[in-house]
Amino acid sequence: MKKLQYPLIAPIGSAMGISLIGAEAHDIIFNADAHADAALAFVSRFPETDIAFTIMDTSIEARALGCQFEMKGRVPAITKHEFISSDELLSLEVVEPENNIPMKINIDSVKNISRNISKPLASYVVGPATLGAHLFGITNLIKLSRRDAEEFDKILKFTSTIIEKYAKALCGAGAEYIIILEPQAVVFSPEFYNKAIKKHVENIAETLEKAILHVCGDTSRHVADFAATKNIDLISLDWQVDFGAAKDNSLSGDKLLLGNIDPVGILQKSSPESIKSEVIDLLENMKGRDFILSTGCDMVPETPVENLDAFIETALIWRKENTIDESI
Amino acid sequence: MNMVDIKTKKVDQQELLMEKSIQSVITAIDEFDFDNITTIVQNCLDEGIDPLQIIQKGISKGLDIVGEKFDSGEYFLADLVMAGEIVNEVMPLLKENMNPGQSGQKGKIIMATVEGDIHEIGKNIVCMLLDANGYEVIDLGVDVTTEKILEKAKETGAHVIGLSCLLSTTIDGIKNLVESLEKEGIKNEVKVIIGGACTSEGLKTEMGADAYAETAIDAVKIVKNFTESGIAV
Repeated sequence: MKKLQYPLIAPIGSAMGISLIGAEAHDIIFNADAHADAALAFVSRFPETDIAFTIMDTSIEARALGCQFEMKGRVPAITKHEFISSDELLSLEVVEPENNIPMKINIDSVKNISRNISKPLASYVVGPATLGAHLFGITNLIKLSRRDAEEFDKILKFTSTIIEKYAKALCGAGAEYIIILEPQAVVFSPEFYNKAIKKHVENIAETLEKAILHVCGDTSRHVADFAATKNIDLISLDWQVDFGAAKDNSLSGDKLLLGNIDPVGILQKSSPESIKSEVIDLLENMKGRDFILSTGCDMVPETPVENLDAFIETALIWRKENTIDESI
Repeated sequence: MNMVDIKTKKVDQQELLMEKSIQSVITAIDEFDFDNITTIVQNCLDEGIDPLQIIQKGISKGLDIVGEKFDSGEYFLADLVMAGEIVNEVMPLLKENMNPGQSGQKGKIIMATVEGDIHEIGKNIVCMLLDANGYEVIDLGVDVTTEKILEKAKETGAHVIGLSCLLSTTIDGIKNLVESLEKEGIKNEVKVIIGGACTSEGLKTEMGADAYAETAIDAVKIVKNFTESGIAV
């Protein structure tokens, strides 16, 4: 029996599946089958990847609570923040994912994808602060963070309840990993994350078997605090973070790192040769530590397939040359 | 003590009082004292301090300090937004008390987030900083078409256009605007500054923009440079 080979190769690329099946983003958002078809098309075109992903959509939970949205490019963006106080929010019934259209579409797509693949599937929920920002508007949430800590906490408690239920439903449908997308964490200081956001992320992650915390952007100053978040198994960080420094200084615990090739600047816009060099640099940088080779964030549907081929082929060759045979 | 001495002492005391009041505006911004900023500014006005002085010596200075702390890593984006909200809270009061022509006398700036992109925090911070620094800011909002920006630039005779762009899928909005300005023959009359997560010095050159601002504070410095040096007035 051979030990699981590291690094696992798991680019966050399912959105490329949208192009592969000749669909538009709009088709994926409202149709569970089309979503599954796109994700499965990606798996089929790039079979060597070790983890499959659903297609990222950070608006699902807010839409589930009635927020208005518009398609902006390929992403549905919340255009109106519906709530002005925690009282108003807490008067809402907690949505049942199986009975809520935006959530149900994604749950059904997870069921469909997981039935048709033989590798682990990762799906997404947003983090408590990010959902809070969708519901109240980020500026209002920031004001609240400064002026009324109790109210801020009430809101995140509520958003956590929604997210937790939805995450459990995704797991029940076949998602092995749940990625908690918390881009708003980086808006606040690490101290504030520790004091007011972390516990809510921990509570969500506690109910999950395998939880990944993903924060976009330059999170270099937050890395240690993300790593200290209990119940999180993996941390997914964007391309601006120096993984070498993160590995040496901040992540001495038991958490795996996932990342972090630039999905746009490198994977979409550069050449296969440049990609090869970037991938080798990262793998060499992370040598001696188990980690998951991935992209810093979601790839765009327009990424050239030959670029992702170069990413995967380079990683496979490097892994073969650097894996110690532990056959027993 | 003769009359001159008495008069000088009185002026000194007044200046001291004014400095103290202005300092309290600076402190309120730096300490994010949302609850008291209006009272503090009202006190300054009651003491006869000119609104423009309050903006230039108090609010601008307070924002500079917050900006410096942001640049040095002590403050985060939430702090910049909070400082901006505090300023937004008192700007109407200050504008009400200004003489006609005092507001926006430094130049006209159009601000917009490019078409297809709805991110607004960075743009809003730049708008607020420019406003506090005496510029007339024409904020066109988010997801703004090239045509709308061009139309506004021609209508207002703006000196600078600030374009915010976070999504790399929307960078063509920058190029389209620059090309449209050239086509209309007004490229030399208005400067284009770009900023936002997906922009860079390289992108500025590639797209034909005039400047790249890495932070909101940089954006204000660049606008000041353009307008004060006569490059864009």
